[in-house]
Amino acid sequence: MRFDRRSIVRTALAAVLFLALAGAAETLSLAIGTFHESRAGSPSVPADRASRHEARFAPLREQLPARGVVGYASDGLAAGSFTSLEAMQDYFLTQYSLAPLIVVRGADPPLVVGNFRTAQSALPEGTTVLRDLGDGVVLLRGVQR
Amino acid sequence: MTLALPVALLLPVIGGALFLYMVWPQRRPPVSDLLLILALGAGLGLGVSAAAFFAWLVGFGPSKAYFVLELLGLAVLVGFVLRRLRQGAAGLPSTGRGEPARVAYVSWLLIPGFVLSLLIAILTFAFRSATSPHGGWDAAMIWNLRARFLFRGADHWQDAFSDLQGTWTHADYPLLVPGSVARAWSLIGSDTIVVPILVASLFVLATAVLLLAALSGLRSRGQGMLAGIMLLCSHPLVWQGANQYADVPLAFFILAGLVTLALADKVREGGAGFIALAGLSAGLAAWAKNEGLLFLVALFAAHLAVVGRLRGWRVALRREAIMGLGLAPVLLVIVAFKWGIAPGNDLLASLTLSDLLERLTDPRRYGYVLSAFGRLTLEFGGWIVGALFVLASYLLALGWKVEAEERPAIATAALTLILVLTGYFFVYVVTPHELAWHVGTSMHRLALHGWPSLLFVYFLIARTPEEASVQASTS
Repeated sequence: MRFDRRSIVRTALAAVLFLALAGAAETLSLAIGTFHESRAGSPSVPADRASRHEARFAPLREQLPARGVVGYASDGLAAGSFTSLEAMQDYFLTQYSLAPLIVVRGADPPLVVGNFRTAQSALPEGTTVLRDLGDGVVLLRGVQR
Repeated sequence: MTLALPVALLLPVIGGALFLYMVWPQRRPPVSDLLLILALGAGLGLGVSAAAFFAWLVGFGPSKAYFVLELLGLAVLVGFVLRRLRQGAAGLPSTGRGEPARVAYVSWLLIPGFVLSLLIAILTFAFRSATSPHGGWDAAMIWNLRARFLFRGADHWQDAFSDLQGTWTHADYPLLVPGSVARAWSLIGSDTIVVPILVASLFVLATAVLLLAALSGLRSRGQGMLAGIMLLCSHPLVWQGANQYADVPLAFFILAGLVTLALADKVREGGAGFIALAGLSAGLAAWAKNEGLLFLVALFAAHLAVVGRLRGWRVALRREAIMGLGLAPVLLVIVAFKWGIAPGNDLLASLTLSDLLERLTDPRRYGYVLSAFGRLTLEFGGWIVGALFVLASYLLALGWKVEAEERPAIATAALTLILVLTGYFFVYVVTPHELAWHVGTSMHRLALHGWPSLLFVYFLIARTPEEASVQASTS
């Protein structure tokens, strides 16, 4: 079997186009699938945690000063270290939500942001609740005051 | 806000395009060059405005007066362009090589493919953005977080770089993306999440259009279209773009640097402007990400070596000086930021000489990084068959053709990319982070930095579909 040059050129172009567009279609299908799964609350796809975090912490922002440093207490924090990747991500998202406040781990600053996943979580020693904003978000008085 | 949003984003795009129109070698650029001017101008405009916004913050603090300055700048540019238009056409030749009229149908056949790939890219970006409107993890942890500090912090915007935040927010990272976002928020007066999504989409689109338009002008319309299709269809560009990371803007400025150098060699007069734009692009790459500093050094070194060898060291040094002129304003901003404001880099801070030597002499680290590079080469693109394999097969089928006048640009671009890749390789070898984690979380993004540029160099070398068709029909 003999291929002429024109067939080779056409086949090469068609193959490149097919492979590229098929790859792009697969990426689109992945994006659509992820979108629907996140909307359906599927456990396999992390929903838009940043938006949920923003909504949870929105009432707290109104209680805090415009700038400065606040502490961070959480049931995902033990002896200054995070107990899981999710707990660490929660801390990052808290900093993101509360910027330009600087959020530091621990209960030393005068005001401490509490982020708790369970109602039974113990508060850090020496802190007192100033405001319970619901959904696991509390404003605490820090240890130093 | 409804009117302020498009104004905030279009101001730098239009300003950048007008500036390029003004400095374009042809007094009246041909219509075919307008797309190139728009794409290049959009990215450069966004980058320059982000640097200028930061310089204003440092000098005068947050103030709406900055936007008066931007508007004045735009008015001046409009005046210059109108004056230039009145002076009439200079009659310089187009940058394009032209294409055989007989086979223009090939490029027309590629138009539906390009439109389809653009449509798929837009939909993918839209669904990804709807799923994660705040972007990927690094967007919330680094880029948009910094933008929030710059905007919400008002007079205390420097809290963004406080040591209290620890190393995880990477406060030493440059500010092109946060600056672009905070600038637009400042004009709008609200930190709507739509802005980072739109900034990211502008860079994705500008990168694809820049590649298409540059190759359309330098080679052929079909070649530009094919490159544009391959870039838009590759998974990393659209996905990482929608993640709102700084990797796509960096990829844009790397491509812009190499494209402007190639254009400088193509025009008979006015090439110095393009060389200065290459320097500006390199500076903006370094203002986008720390990896851009590596590109900056690699571009200057590769350009000096290639032009010095092919055209003489005197010419090379003169061109380096012109590139340096383009680079200087942005470099000043970077130096001011790195020395005066940013904390130390976590990679460098935790690196001791003994650690460095230990890692550099550990063959297992080289093996690990090499195998990761190998896997990436085979899988890159997110296609059924690796994109690099597709490129290699296509080259064998259509052949290659390097014009003598394009050799310096191609050699400079190739050497720059090799130097950057080598730099990335050694960063992994000596990284103080856990190697598997560092490679696993970043290598696919580093590959994206050079991907549009690799396509640019590749399609400068590969025979165009039009040429291959002519050759096939005459043989």
